[in-house]
Amino acid sequence: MASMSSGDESLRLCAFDLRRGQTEGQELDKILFFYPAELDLSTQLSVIGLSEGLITFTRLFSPEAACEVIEAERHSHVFYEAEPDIWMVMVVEKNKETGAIWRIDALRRVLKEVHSLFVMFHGSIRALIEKEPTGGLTRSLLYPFITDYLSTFQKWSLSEDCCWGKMLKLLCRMPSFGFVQNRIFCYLHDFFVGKKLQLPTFRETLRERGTVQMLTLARDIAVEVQSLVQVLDSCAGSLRCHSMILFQDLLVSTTLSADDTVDLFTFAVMRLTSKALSSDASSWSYLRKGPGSSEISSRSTLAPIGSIDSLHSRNGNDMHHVIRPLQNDKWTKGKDGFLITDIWGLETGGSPDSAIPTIWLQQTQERMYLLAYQHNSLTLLLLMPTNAIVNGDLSVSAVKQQVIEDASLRILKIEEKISRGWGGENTYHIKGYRYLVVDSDMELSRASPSGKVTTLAKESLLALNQLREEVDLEKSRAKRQEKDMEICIRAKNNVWVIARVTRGKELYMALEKGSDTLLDTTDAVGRFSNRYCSGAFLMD
Amino acid sequence: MDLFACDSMLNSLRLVETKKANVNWYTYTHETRLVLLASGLQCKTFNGFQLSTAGVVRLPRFEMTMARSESNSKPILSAGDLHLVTVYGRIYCLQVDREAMLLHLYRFYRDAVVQQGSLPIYSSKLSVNVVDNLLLVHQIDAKVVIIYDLFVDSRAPVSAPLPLLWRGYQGSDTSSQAANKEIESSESSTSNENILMYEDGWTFLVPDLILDQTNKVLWKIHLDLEAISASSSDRTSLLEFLQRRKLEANKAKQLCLGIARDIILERRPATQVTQAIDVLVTAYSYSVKAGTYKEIKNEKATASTPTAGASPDNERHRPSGSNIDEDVEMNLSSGSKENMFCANEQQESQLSSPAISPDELYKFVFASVEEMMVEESEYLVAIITEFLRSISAEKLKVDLNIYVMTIRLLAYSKRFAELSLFTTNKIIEPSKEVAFQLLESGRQNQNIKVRKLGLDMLRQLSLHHDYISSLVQDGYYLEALRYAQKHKVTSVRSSLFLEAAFASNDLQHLAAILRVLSELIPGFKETSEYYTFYGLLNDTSSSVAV
Repeated sequence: MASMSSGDESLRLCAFDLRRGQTEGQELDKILFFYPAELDLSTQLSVIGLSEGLITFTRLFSPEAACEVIEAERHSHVFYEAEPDIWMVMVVEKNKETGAIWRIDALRRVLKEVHSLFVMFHGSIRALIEKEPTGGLTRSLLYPFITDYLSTFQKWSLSEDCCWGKMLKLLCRMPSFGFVQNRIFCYLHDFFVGKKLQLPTFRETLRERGTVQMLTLARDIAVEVQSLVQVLDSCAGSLRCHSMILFQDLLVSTTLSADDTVDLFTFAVMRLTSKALSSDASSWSYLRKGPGSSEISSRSTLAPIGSIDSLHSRNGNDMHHVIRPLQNDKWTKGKDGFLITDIWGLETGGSPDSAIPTIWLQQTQERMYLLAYQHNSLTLLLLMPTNAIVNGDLSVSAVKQQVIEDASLRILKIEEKISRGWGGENTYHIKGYRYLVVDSDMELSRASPSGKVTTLAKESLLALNQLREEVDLEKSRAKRQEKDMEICIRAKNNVWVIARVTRGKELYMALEKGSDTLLDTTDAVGRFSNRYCSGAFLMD
Repeated sequence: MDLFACDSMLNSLRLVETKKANVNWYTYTHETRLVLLASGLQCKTFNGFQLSTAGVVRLPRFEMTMARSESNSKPILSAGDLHLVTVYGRIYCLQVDREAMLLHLYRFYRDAVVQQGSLPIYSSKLSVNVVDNLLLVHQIDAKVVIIYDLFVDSRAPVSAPLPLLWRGYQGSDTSSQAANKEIESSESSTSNENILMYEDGWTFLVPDLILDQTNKVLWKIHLDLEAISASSSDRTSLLEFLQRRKLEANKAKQLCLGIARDIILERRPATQVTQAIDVLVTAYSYSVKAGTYKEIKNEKATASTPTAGASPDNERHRPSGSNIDEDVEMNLSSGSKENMFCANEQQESQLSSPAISPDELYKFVFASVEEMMVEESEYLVAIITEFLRSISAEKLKVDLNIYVMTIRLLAYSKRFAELSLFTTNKIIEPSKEVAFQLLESGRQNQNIKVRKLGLDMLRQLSLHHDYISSLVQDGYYLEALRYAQKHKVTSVRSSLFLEAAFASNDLQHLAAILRVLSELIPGFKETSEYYTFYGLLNDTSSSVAV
């Protein structure tokens, strides 16, 4: 047990409300979320107390933007003010040997992402607290949500690098172990595997969380896609719907604002796309499908709340059914092509539409029903305002029928055309380059395929990671002003790492061509920019 | 009976061939060059011969269907019950079956005769005309005409039964909307009121003439496309119908434009409008391939009355010469007038096809409805998208102004996500005009992203001068200058950079710009501008130093 809990220290994640728990003895009231939930309350409070102290202190000097990060000797504390006075803090261990080398902005983007997703499904934390001032509702939603979110960072690498995996395998082979096996699985799931979280390290330096990856379409297909979008948007009659189309894990089209697109896209790639659905059926699915997953939820949901509840002597009556939108392995493809889930309840219970997923749109503050339709690699998300359906102007099944009638043939054709022109996961690989292009205006990014990035030496990635850290710093200093930047560094292992920032567009690159001069490198970047970025990055 | 197939040479008849056959009666029309010989008890067995340059082609023997009457007496087919017509270059034989009250259709192929459906008839007396490849079935008792378009597989009439009306050749003045046909004659002005429709003395001549023995005139049948379109509700098939009209191509074209405009203004469901647009675009594409569509030189002249045909009021202003000319030409008794209309006729006949090019669709449909539909820009964008899809499917090009318009509409409804998709996927084809519209829309909506799309487009199009000027306008004077330096662009006024830098109060930038400009522009150091700003720089820096 002791050896396992060492994993505990690698990550702490908390969310708290600065306005709450200001009187002595009420401190616990601040805590909205803490990971790991098992940690004793005094430790939880000390982490939050430190964070709160720093925030208050730094606000004296910089009221607009308080503390962003603390770099301690062994830990980094990453701060993110998700909503006014609602802070999220992540504490990660630094360890050069195990490769726990972070880029702070990448970690902050994790916090930002989980918060945006939460808001998309449940509305803002502020609003939830106002609705139910004890905070119980907020906590009961946050705990399973963030836990489910973090589970996407879990690495299912039992068999490779831990003796527990071997033991598990042994256990599996023993037929008499049936019952115990399950127990052990959930035990491991919760305490061991669940803790093995792989946050984005320097190895993911050529990725940008919180951006959308797009599929490049030929004009004729693009026109057909837009025509399909018009059909989808008018599937609810005069009421205009929103839609988003994905091909595999790439965005094909959207009618949502950039921010809403990012959130929904992130969720779709996590849980809805054909890849996400098929990965559920991976070799470890039996593990997740066991009673373990339900147990983890009840544990992580109830344990901390229980402890806080007991402090506040609250009645647990409103511990009603908690919706866990990020729950894994809950979506399946129905016969009619629409994806179904029981996360929002069963269609048989209550009104027929209550079981349909709903999300909030940031831009319009509208609540929308979410329908997902899938044909092979093509996933279509359709959003309809809930009030129109509640008012009885529209029924979801009628919309579904309309989609099948009006659009299914087009979907079929478009999927076929895109698939035919699709070159596989290495489509956007550009020979000789390892790159990341970010368009922060459109919240888009494109990068070398991860399979190709792994061919880079560790030193190259570290150098690039460090360079990005510098650029992040420069960008945050420049604040709103768009700054032009151009950095070319030759790192120790003779790799050229390049950063280029211009008017909302960023380019990061590693060129492992030690023999090249600076001039050659600039030329190479210039060629890349002209060819693949329509000359956005001007090189002298 | 003996049949003599003869060849007329000069004034002599020469016997070419003799064929023996049992014949009760025969029928022949010159138009089809087809002789049909009826034989058998009911006269329903037929032998056909077609006279062609290659000789006499014998058609396979075939039987016609006849319904039995209740009294079990076998009806006998007479020559008057048979009509030979040519429609769309195909030869049809129409047979009246009085017992079944059906008009059977037989199509003659090179080596076969195939029955192709039947049309219901509502009158015991029946006659047939063909105008502009349309089959006109006169229900003489009912005094109406039913029009069929045999091009489509459906045997439904094109429109509701329509009456036959007299119309003088100044027809447009006296025309009534219910008119289906105009029958014109030069003499008719004297006795027009007395003419009765479907008099006993009428002899119908294929294709489109009626010999009126009572009044001693020859009538020519004309289609009133407007009346037909007014009495037809299915817009898509109506457009298809109009696109197949050759005789009055201009009128058909104007009607099509009017219909397209109306269905958009009436805010019909997008699917309906899409179908309509598809019809027009494919018809155009087909006519371009077939070579019937000619770019008209005097397009401006017709273009100046875009609303013609949309409403009946405009009718008299429209150059309605074509119908007049046709009549005059055909009219036996009015040869003198032919010359008068010759000039006019030549001009009008240039329009041999009612096909509408995408540019015309843009100009007369989309551009003309934009102002009225601006509040419903989402709907209009949907329609335009379908239009672009239709065009792209046919690999056609369209006036770039439609892209400018699309941007305007998308920006109006604040659909910036789609605007950016349309631009990056090049659905909106890049051009200088489009880029400027993006810049303008970005400015109006204070949306920097849209503005950047415009800037990116200018850069991609290598419109260096405009790119640099716009960058400076947005305050990116350093980047602009850098770009100018890289691409050796000297056309942008140097004062733009200098003033921008001076305005931003950055002396370092100003000094840098002066240096770069003096390298970039030969002889810059001798200009007054250089002195002015150099002086400013020195003054300010010295004042700072003090």
